[in-house]
Amino acid sequence: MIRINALTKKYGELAALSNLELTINAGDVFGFIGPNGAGKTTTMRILATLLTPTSGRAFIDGHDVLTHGRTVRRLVGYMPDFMGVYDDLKVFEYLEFFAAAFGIEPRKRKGIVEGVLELTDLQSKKAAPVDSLSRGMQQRLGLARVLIHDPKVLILDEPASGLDPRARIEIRGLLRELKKMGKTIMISSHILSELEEISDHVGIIEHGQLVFSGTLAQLRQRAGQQSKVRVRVVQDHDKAVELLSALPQIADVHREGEIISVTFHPGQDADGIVARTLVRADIDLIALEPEQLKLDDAFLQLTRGLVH
Amino acid sequence: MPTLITTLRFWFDPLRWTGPIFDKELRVSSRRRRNYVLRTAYVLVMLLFIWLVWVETVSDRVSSANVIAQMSRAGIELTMAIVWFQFVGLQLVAVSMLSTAIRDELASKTLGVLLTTPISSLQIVIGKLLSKLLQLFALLALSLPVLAIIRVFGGVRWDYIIAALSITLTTLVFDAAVCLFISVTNRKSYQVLAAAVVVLVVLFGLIPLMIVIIWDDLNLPWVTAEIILSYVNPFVVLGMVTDSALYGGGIGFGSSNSFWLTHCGIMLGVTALLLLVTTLRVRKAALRQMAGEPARSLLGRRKGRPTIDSEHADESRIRRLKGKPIVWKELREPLVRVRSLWQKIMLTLILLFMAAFYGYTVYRHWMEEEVFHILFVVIYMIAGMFATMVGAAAAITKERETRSWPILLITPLTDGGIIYGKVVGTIRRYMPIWLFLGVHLMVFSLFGYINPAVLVHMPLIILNGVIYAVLSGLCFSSLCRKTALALVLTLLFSLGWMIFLPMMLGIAGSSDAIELLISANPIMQSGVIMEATSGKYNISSGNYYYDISQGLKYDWFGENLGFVGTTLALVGFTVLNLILSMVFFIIARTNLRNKLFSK
Ligand SMILES: Nc1ncnc2c1ncn2[C@@H]1O[C@H](COP(=O)(O)OP(=O)(O)OP(=O)(O)O)[C@@H](O)[C@H]1O
Ligand SMILES: [Mg+2]
Repeated sequence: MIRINALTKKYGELAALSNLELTINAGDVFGFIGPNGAGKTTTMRILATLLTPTSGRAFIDGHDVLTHGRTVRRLVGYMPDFMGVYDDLKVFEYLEFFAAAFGIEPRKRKGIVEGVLELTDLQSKKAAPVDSLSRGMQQRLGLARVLIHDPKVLILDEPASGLDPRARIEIRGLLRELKKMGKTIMISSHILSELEEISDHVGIIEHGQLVFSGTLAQLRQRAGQQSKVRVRVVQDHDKAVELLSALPQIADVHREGEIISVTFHPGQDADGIVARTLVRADIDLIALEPEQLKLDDAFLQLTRGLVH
Repeated sequence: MPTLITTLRFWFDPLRWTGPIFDKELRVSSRRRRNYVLRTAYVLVMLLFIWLVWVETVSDRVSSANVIAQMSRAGIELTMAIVWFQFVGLQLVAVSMLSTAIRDELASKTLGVLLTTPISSLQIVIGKLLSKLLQLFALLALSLPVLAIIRVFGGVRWDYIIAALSITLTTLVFDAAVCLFISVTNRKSYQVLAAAVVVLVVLFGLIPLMIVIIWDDLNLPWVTAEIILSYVNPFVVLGMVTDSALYGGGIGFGSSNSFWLTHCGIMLGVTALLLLVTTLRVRKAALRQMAGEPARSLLGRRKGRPTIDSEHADESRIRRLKGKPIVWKELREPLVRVRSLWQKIMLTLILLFMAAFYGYTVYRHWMEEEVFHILFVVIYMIAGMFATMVGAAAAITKERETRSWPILLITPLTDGGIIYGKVVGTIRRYMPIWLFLGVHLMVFSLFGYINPAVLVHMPLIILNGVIYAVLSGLCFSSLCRKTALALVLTLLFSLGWMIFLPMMLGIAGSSDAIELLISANPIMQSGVIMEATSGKYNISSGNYYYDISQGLKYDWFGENLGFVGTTLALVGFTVLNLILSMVFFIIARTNLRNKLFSK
């Protein structure tokens, strides 16, 4: 649905994007993650036809973003990272304005606006001036606006920034709803774990280059090559540590009070061998649990944290 | 000794008086490229101007025998030219520079933050004022060496230069105070700019004009009018000072002609008062902003505005969209928004005053003279074109400023369609002004004060004026990021070809080009048409109802083109105007999608 080939965008000397390659399949929720200044917003602006790349091409549903701007604009709903609102419009008027701008027939406008208001839970604010809304409400209004022309592709630049936890959860629910409706969604964030529940695929960008693209499972695998288990035994802690350290598959054994952390060599994922070794040595094993590498750790491992 | 120096430094440290704002302003302004551009442009234009005056006054008469007398004559004329150039030019610079001063802080929501620091409101106002004035003074100082060199030729007395500089300075300070005063409660810097221009034009132009008319009508002694005006009107006082310098008579401190000192005193007093009120209001505006409400006009629309937490806000106030979306949205911001009682009273007063003035002019038979029709029509033309330019110059930049522009550009509206919507919306918003003009023309031709031939030419002129104003405004709006800058450029462009260029050409002595430029100006055109068609004389000569071309004298620079000739000329100018407007349109369209994101 979205294809980006060798996309480069330079601001003077600084390359905000350098030869970015990216593909997003139809119906996917794609989490686009990167630290500040990585080039997320730049990529999304190019996809939304607002910015001309220095070189490279981008396609949405097969249409070149550069040459077929108007077709692309009908397909895409873009929500900018910072949204301006008109001072003098009310919520309903604001949405109706964009309905008209997207060429929706006058007869259908009211129904469609009511529909998106309901979807974003804004009906009660229908007659409120747009600039009187709180940050979270404005964010929701932004989502409502994006949905007004029923686009196939949604490009959302940090839709959850500035929202309280409840609003974040609500937005997540809304996105799930939209996914069910079959939309392709590209959503950016700094925080990987925030997208964990909703996105199928993630792409991690840094310095304008994609450092990872794939499913969450693949990400875990790639970042968490060294898997860990946590072991609890009743007594004989020292003996257990000694035994485990001797195993060739195990890289590191580390004890903290009752708990022994075992780190395997890369590629070795043999929980069984730990249990077997301990049981054979007559050590009472209480618990053995794989320690999940947190997504944010994966993110930190993949990016170098250099800011330009 | 060191203690003395520290004491001196303590008392004379400017920061002690102006606070960190002044410091910050200077720092920021030295970083802004546009300040250097401004300074360079100002100096270049001034040098060009001086050169033209020089060429005019000296080289023409170089063969004459009395070289000394000639040089001193040239010296006087050059000095006058520089003095007037600075007086007018710096006021323009002052208004455009000061109109953004407090707005910038309000818009970027830093004013509220500033007030959480121990900085006082006075320090904010004075800091802003002084930092901008300092730049203005720097521009003013640029001319001092030139003036000193010219003095070598002799001719002009120092006390004239001192008087002229003092008047210029106090006027600049006054203009600055007016801008600051307006900018505290006004929402957008381009509105401040427009409002300041209107206030200054009314204060220095329209009110003196009314005084002159009233004095003339009541047969009051001219001396009193002159005295009143010399105290409160810098243009008049500078003219008087210039006169007495040219035709002798001292204007020094001791002489009886030191009226300019009184003038400066009065202006400074008024300025101080304005600044005081501004200081008192800065805090209110900032507090309102901190409370989360957007700062609006004091006269503004507080009531009737649904509050944030009114669950089921009044749905009947929602207005449904009709027609083209962009046009509809432009019209949501009407020319005059009458919400509060204050605004109703103001509007009623203005309308009553206009009605009374019209009634009085008819009662006094003034309308039988063409000069009053010329006056009314030219004022309507200027007001209409100015307002249209303001609206058009803001049309694109205000969306860039509020960052609503990108989300409009991702709709499938075509670029041409967006501009078309902006054009139609802007024109329709300022329709009321043109309506007044239309009613004036129609009613007075119906009752036999204006020849109906006017109804052939004036619509064409108005159309040209509107199209020119709206497209030139949009063109500069598309080129700029900030509305205030777009407005300044739009106004400068028009002032440039309508006034400055003819003036320069006049000095350089090329009369054909001047005549063409002036004839192309819709405001001048309306003057010519009104002169030809209005007043009892033009109507009584010949039975015009059957042959409207009979007896009308269209005076285009001493040449009577007649009805048909004038029509043809106006059609020609319309074609030129349409070509120019196409160029504006194309520039606007190509730049529409630029400058979307600030750096
Ligand atoms: N208009 C501009 N002019 C110059 N440089 C720019 C401009 N816009 C962005 N950049 C630079 O391009 C780089 C990428 O910016 P971008 O906004 O795409 O990052 P981002 O990933 O969205 O960051 P964030 O998480 O902070 O939103 C940054 O280094 C930024 O400074
Ligand atoms: Mg960003």
